[in-house]
Amino acid sequence: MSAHEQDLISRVLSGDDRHAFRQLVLMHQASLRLFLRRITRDAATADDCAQETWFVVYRKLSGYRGGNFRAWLLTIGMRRALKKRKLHLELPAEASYIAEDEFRCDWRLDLEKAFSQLNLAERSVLHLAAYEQLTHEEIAAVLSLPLGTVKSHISRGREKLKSFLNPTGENHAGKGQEKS
Amino acid sequence: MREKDKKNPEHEDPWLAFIREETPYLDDAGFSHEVMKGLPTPRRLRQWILAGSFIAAFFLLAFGWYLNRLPIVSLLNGIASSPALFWSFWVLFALILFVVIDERVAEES
Repeated sequence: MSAHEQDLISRVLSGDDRHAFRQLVLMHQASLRLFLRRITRDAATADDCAQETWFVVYRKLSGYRGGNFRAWLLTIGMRRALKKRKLHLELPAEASYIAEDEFRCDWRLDLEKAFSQLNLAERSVLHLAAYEQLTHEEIAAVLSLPLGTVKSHISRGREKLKSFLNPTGENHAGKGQEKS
Repeated sequence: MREKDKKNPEHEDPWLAFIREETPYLDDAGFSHEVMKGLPTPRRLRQWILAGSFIAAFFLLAFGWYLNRLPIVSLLNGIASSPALFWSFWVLFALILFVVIDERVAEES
């Protein structure tokens, strides 16, 4: 956790500083909403869950014991999303949903389509590993899964993504990196 | 490559890097404003309101007692003299307590 983040949390806890809390929301809103969109595959539900998550964070901030704040935030968000959608991490892949207008180019759309073919556990684990860059231990804590299960979901999810995006053997990962 | 990539060998995988690079950023688009609007009353204000209510209730009771016109005294005497009323009172009290605790637990989860 950065010193700035720690300072904002202290200000919220000591003086109920709403401006500091807003800064925290602004810093982490994109991460949380994106993660919840990947889990729920519905933008409106994801944003509802994200909002509820911030209310819980506001109430429970005094119980935060340090460490990776974003991982703590995503843990709360994950639990709310699972509860709201009555989902379980080990369910098989659900019907595919994709909000096409949210992606600016076909390439991103392909990736999101491929993502939507994965089951909930694989989507969550891959998102946390790739986008949030959490360690395997942090992912295991966020999702309340054993470390070995996390590793196998990452490996299986990555192979599935490869096969969805790369049926002809073309190296999309390399292409993605060249683009950026 | 971000700072964290350099530190964490788990993220050197080109496919994970590819997913990261291709994931769009979500603009705030009024989200944080909605969150701030929905936050509960500031804790300090809530504490002051609670403290004020207790003090006001205390003075009202003391004043009523002083004037010997407190309706709650005769009500409590009535409840104590009738076993049916006495037990109904405790059942009602337990129910209220249960509802309050249940709501609190639901809120916490």
